[in-house]
Amino acid sequence: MTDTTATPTSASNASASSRSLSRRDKRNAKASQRNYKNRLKQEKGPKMTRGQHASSWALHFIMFVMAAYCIIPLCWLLFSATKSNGGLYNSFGLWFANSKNGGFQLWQNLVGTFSYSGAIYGRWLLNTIIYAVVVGFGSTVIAAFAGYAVAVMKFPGRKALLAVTLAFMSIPTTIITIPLFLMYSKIGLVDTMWSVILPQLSFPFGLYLMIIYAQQSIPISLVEAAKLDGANHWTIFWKIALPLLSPGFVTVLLFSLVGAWNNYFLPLIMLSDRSNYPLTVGLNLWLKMSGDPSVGGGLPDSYIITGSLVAVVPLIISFFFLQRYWQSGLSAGAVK
Amino acid sequence: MARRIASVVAGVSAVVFALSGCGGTSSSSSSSSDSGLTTTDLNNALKSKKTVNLTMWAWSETQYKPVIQQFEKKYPNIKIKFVLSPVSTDEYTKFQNVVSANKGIPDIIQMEYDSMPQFAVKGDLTNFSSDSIEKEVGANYNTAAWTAAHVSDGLYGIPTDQGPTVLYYRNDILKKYNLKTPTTWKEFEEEGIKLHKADSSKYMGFVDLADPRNLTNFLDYADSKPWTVKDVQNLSFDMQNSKVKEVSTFIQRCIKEGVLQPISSAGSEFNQAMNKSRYATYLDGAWRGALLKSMYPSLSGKWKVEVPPSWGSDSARSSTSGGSMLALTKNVTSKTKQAAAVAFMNYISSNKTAVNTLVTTGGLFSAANVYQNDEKQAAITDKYFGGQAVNKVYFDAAKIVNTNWSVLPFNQEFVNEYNDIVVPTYTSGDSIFDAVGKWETKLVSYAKNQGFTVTENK
Repeated sequence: MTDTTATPTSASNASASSRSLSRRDKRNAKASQRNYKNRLKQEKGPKMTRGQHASSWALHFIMFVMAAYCIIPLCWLLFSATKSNGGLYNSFGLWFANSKNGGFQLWQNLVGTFSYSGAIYGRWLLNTIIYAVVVGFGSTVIAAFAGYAVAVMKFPGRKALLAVTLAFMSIPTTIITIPLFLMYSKIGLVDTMWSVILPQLSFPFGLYLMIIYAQQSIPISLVEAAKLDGANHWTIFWKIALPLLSPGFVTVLLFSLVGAWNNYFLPLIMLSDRSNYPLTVGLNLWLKMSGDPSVGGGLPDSYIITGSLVAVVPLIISFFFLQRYWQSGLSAGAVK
Repeated sequence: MARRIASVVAGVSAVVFALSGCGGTSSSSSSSSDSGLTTTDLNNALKSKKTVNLTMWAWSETQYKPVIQQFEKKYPNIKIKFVLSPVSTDEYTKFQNVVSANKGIPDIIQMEYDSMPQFAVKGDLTNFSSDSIEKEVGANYNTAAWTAAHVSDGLYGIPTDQGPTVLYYRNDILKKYNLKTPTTWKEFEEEGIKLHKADSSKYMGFVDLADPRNLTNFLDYADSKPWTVKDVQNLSFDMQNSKVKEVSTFIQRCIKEGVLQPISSAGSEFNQAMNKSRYATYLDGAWRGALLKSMYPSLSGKWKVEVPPSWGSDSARSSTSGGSMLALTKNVTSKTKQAAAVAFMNYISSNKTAVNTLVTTGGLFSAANVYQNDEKQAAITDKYFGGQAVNKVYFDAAKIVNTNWSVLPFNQEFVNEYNDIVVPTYTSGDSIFDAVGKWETKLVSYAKNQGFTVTENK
């Protein structure tokens, strides 16, 4: 795509001190850019037929509606988090509240959210981060081990393993949560952070993705060469396989992080002590508290909304930064 | 996302509930209601020098913590381990799980009146009814609340707070349109028609699409007795009787005439509508007053309270919305432990100092007579309600709560089917009465599947 003749020769002119020169330089740059744009237009290829035009418009329209459908609730959350409790119900949902309705209260809401009920919100946020990070890295490393093993080592039941993983992917984790609770209750792990972390370390979807990815991206010859040089599996995995696996690794990591961050049912069933709660369960508790005076009452809805906003911010940030890997990883899994 | 998973999951856990329900029904059918526990046992438990440890699950932390301290100071031999549980249905799921695991079951558990029967019939709770307890302990509490702590003859807990329904109304709106406060449901409809004619953006009230108690309260006002729990195994259904028909057609007519508007109280449209004074009345439990105050501070001085209007020529009745009790679980098997637990529950629910603490720390509407007969409490006026002595109205309402009412022992199923079958008719215009009939069919077949003996009046 890049055309060397179209780019302005600004580097050679950078040292010029005369003002007129630099002005001319700008003009040149502009002209060359126009040139470049025109050429782009010409290079667009054959013109679309009328039918293609129409379907393109229709597709764009549908995509726009779907994007709006996803973004509007987020905007609502963003605007609502800036409102006082009264402002929430007296102002339009998709804009800020005017000063009559309490005005801009984001800071007060943040302070309130983080200090309410013995600053429990901060604790929940920390717990969520711990769960997400430990589960995210733990399950991804395990999946990468398995992927490497299936792709590189020859052992009986490799194919069966793949089939079993696929089968496990189709079982909703919610179904096994209560049996898990009964088991964990027997060994006394209920109501500890381990009861939330351990079950999530097995991540069938990530495992499957990793196996497929490893089969495609680790050349056996490379492994064999390393073996000849005297490396064992441990060294080969960390030194050779992992760098090759890294796009898949990041994808599984993201899926796993998001899954652990949003997990609701498992911690709800396993945990009793509120100081072990993650944000999902904690915020749901707040939601119930706000409408029920027997729970203590006096919890403003604006705290719940601000709490929800703070809860999604880390995920949004991680998406912005890791989006590229996510996309490439997605397609990698799809090609098989 | 998490929410959607949660709702799917609620269904799943309901199935688990159902499965585990089958086995339990037969084991708990102790037909003799006398447990042999007497008030003398309770007094001895308080005086005893032997230490008794009890575990209690509850979500009303701010209210219970201080009264537990008071109790432990006075009776140091009974030690309470307070476990802060998640609220309502989440707590029940947890309770169900520890019962299945048969490990970590609490001795005492906070439960709503709507949900207690489903655990009682499965044998997860302990019946401690006896002549002396019914007579002497029962005398401490409001009759309707005491009845609600029972499943037929069995007593499974002590009522702590209750929610007698009252009619909150906007005095300013009624005055502006020259309407009188309705004392009968007929007047409610007539005044509502006038109001909606004068200003089509206003309604006399609303049908809450998010709360099944909306319909059951009306059925209760009309004393329609749509179902009866005869004992832990026998149920009877009569949901197509003439009273039920009257109630269904009344609601249907009111929606058509613009007297009642169907809306979900859980949405933000509802809160906006409240602030914009769309509704002239709000029918709900007596605890709603505190929430009105905190949620709609701008409407201060405009509200008033009255007992609910009366049905036909009957005298006025109130119904129940919310409220909770402390139940005794099956974990408490020894007589000494039972006596200590009941003595404790009774103390914190009816001792005057304890009740005062419950009321002042968290605004619970206590079910104890020491509270409901307290003239000082009845005289307290409230600025938010234009200086009205609201407690007096609440106490009056509590006295007329219909005791001729029982709660079906499968609340979750009851609510789910109601939401699926009856709720859509409020907005679609289809016959509500027919929908109630379909609802009955579902409930009957569910009850039979669960092993209940069902009689139908047709």
